[in-house]
Amino acid sequence: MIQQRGHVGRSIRLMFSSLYLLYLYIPILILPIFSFNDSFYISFPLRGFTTQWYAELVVDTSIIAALKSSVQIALVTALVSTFFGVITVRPLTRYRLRGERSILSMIMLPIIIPELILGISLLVVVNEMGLMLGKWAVITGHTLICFPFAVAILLSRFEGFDVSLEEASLDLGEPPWQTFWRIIFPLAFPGIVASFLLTFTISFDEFLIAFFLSASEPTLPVYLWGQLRFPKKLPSALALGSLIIAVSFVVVAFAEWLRRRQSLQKVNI
Amino acid sequence: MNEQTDLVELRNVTKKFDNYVAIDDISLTIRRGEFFSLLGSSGCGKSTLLRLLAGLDWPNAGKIFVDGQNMHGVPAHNRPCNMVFQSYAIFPHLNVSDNIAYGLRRFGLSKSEKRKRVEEMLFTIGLEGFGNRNPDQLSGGQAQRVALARALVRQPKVLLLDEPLGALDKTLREQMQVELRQLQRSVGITFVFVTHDQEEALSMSDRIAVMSAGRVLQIATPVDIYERPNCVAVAKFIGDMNFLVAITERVKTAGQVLVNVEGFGEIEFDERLESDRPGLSHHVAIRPEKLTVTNERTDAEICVRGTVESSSYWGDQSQFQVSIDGCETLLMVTAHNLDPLRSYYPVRGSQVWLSANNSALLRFSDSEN
Repeated sequence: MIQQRGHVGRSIRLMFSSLYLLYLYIPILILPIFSFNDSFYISFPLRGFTTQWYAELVVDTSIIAALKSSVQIALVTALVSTFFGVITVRPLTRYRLRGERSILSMIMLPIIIPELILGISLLVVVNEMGLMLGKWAVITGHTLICFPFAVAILLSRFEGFDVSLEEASLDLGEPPWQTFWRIIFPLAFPGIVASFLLTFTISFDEFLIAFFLSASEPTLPVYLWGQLRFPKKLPSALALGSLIIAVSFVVVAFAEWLRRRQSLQKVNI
Repeated sequence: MNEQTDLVELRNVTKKFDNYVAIDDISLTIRRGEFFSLLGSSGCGKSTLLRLLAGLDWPNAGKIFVDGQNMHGVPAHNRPCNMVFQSYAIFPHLNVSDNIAYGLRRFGLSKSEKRKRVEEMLFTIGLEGFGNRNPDQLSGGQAQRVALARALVRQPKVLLLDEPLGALDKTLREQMQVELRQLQRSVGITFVFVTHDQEEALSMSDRIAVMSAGRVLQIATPVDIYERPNCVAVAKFIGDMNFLVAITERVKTAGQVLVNVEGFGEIEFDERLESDRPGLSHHVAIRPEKLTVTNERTDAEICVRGTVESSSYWGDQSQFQVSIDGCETLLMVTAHNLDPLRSYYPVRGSQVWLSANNSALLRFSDSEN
């Protein structure tokens, strides 16, 4: 009896996890499947295999332009928010500051503010100040939402930092700035890379703020949203989506590899 | 000649953390080439003192001189001191050679000179061939040696060691004690060694500063610290000690003092305390190993009857708690077990005689518990 019950339990577990995995991945798998389908319409049955949409993608200048501004915006956003993340987290973890908790809560607050609200208020601010809408405006908005994430990731890396390593470096004749480059930076590097990759992804995916602020320089999500009105453009969008998924997969795998290497080091010391 | 000159001098150094006084107006000198220990229980300020020397903390008041140079305003990276950290602080992203070479960058050495120095250091610490190892491949003792090498390779005027043996197991610690002492003699660098382990301090040091609550209680050689502690606190902290209540009876004109010691009766001391006057209540102390247990009366200067209340056999020695008439406290007595199977060995309840010489008794005027 007991054995049988165990058997039943196992089948239920197996069924549940299979359904869950299907639920997670079917919408994502739809993308590459239809990106190779020889039809404008996204409906079964599949018509036949084609790479036509990928070929169209390469020559579609406006989609390439949107991709380019997305990458540019994400790169600058990731660099800026990670840089400010490092110079924020460093004193927060190194010194005992008065009101450290309140400072952190203030930094983390934008995470819970809806992006729709942020987007609208940023639009108002940018317009009122007479600034230009476009890439730089989007970068400003994205840095605002990415910075708390950068701080959260870097905090976990910098917090476990053994102060005596830094003191040992000072003691061995390296001034503070050299100590930062020779000791703190290399040890924090995996965290810095992780922060960079996460903020890059957040900025690359972000729609609402980009929608309000990008104006004539749409980012990829904004551009794709605009193209949904034209069914003929849809398969190309699917092709691009598939490529992005493939690239994301590689990037995330790389980040995970870095993270594991770092935690392995931690265990051994 | 040169060996007796002072290398490090502290003048009225005080360090506070908020309202907590970690170092309370300490003045002391450390001699060139000396193995100097700072000994005290945790929180006594010994590590803070080391960090002040290293420049990792700054004093609120007072001056620190190293080799005649005032260290005021000199940051850690410009001081002629190097430190071996309690946690070793080996850089995890550098291999053993790069760890040792880390502090050589500003010496303007060529690559081959640098490598030669690192190789020499590896040889000195007995880790030849370990240069390419990563820190996570080192045992505790090896990591400790690398930390030592990394500091010594810079040939500092003073090497500061913050409880460097604390994390090692007993056997390795004893081995490293001997090695460290030999190393100090061979390199001739002044060592300032922080420890809470009194045996470590006694066995390794040229001189010891016993610290408590941010102050230095006594600075002396290991023998003087043990045999002639200058206050009750030092006597209690170093080794075991029996304390007996005593009352001064008479101060003779020639300087001798007649003292009534609890349990021992009237004893004449040659030296008088500063505050000696008839009726002065104070303490007389004697180390457990300076008392001898016998089953017959001896003709020692002090010989009293007692009863063994408990005895513990420790292999090389035994410890007895003995009660004597007219004395409320039990006396602790240790004896070497030279031949316990054949000679007299007291057990619980045995009537024994305790003997000692007057010179083994120490007098303390301070009533510090």
